[in-house]
Amino acid sequence: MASQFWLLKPPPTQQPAKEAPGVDHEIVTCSIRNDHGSGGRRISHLSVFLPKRCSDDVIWTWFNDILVTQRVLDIFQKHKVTGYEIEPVKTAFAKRSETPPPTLFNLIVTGWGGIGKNAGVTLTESCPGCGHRVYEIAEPSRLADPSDWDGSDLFMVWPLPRFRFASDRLAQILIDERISGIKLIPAPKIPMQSGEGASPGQLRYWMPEERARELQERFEI
Amino acid sequence: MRPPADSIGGAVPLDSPTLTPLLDKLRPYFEPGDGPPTPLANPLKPYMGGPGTWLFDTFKPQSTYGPGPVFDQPASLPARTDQNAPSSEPSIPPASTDELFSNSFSSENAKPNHPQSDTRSLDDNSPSAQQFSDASIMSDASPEDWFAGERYAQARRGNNNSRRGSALERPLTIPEENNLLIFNGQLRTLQQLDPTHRYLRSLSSPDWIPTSEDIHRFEREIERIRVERELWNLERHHLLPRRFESNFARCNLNIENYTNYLWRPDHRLLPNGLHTGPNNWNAQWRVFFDKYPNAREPQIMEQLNRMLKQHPLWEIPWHHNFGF
Repeated sequence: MASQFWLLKPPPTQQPAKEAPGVDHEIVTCSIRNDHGSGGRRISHLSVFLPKRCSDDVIWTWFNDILVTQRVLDIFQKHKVTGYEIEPVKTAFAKRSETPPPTLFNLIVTGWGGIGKNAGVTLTESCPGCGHRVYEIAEPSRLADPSDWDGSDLFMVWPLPRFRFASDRLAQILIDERISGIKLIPAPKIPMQSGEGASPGQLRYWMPEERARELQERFEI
Repeated sequence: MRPPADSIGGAVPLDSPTLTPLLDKLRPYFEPGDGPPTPLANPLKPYMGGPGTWLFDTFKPQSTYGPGPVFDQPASLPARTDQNAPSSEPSIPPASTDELFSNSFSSENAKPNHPQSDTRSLDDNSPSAQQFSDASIMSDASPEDWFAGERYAQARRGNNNSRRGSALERPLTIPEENNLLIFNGQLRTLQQLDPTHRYLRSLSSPDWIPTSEDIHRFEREIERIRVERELWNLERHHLLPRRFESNFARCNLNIENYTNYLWRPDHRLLPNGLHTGPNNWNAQWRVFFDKYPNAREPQIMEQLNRMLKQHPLWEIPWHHNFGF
């Protein structure tokens, strides 16, 4: 494998799972702008409707949450994969089915790949009323940088918390173990054009509070 | 109530004592022997207020009068000219709308006998004087005195934001532009379903921007025709996809306010359906939320705007005025 880091993406043929109604989020209001209302951190467990055909080991939602089967967790434990936590997920089939839905877990990435120092990440907008921030990324292909990487097999790079990266080691495990439902893209080929923006919200929306606080203090984000 | 026969638009009788001093003041601007000024019959233009407006518009001025406001009437009509003008006066050749648009209102022809221009100096630094000296001005009618539904040459300047003849002096906001694009989508569908529909015969002013209510009005009508004729291959497309409804709702956006009717092949059939191919409508939103998982309403509106403008289905082949 030539690339050191790999971007995890859903395969184009997979039908994504849809978030079921009733999943609660924090409500974010802005004291300055009326049109800055938004949702914050998810405060209830994820609940999804699965498409009828979902035999993959990894299922993605429309919002690109990564749902994994027990088999994947077992493989991760066997190979001592690092950089993640799991959360239970409520599942149901979108249409009536005779078979029960699979047991899935939400993969929460806690590994850290830095703040894209070499990618030219700049803060272009910051709202003092609600903390809403917009970044611009001059060179997305340089986002995953070994100098900022904490060594985890699974990690994210700020300001793109919905882009999950894997180490070369993990990529090899996924291939060797024939884990289905994941597409690997070399990190420099990230599907993003230079100068594109990102609006990630706060780090604590995407990883456990304690870990997020630690990283926020360290990297002042 | 019908206005008295000798009144203008039922507003003020010509022989009203309050008007006499004004009429006397204006008399020098009309030719000698012209007699008392007579109003021009202009059935298109009711009196709508504004000090001096009706005087300015109903009396026939001399030939030095500039093109003035251009009315939205057939080009064959001699707009702003009096066919009953006395022969002693050099007649104003009937001008087509296009000719009037192409003429500029120069300070030279504005100066001599213009009822307003002679009261001020063009060297004056006042904004109005600057307006008169501005070569780009095509009509001297003040926008405040414009009549709804009529097209003024002056409106051609000031707004280059994809709206021809807009009276708006500012560019459209993104939500306004989205409303316009969505409304045009509804308009196109209604036109296909019933080209003689009464909604399509309405007139709008150039600066009119459709609201959500206007869009809903058209949508209800399309839905009624769809059910009536059992046009089940005419499908409702959510521009803000239902898949992401919860995200939109958190930004106070109701996805039901952003819909258009599309024919099934345009909507979800290969090869060109919106929901087909790797870069389909929902996939584009998915990519957007990858990068902007915490997007706010303005960002969502910008994304919708980009997507609408990129897709040929929402190209605007006509001005949004219904006068096509």
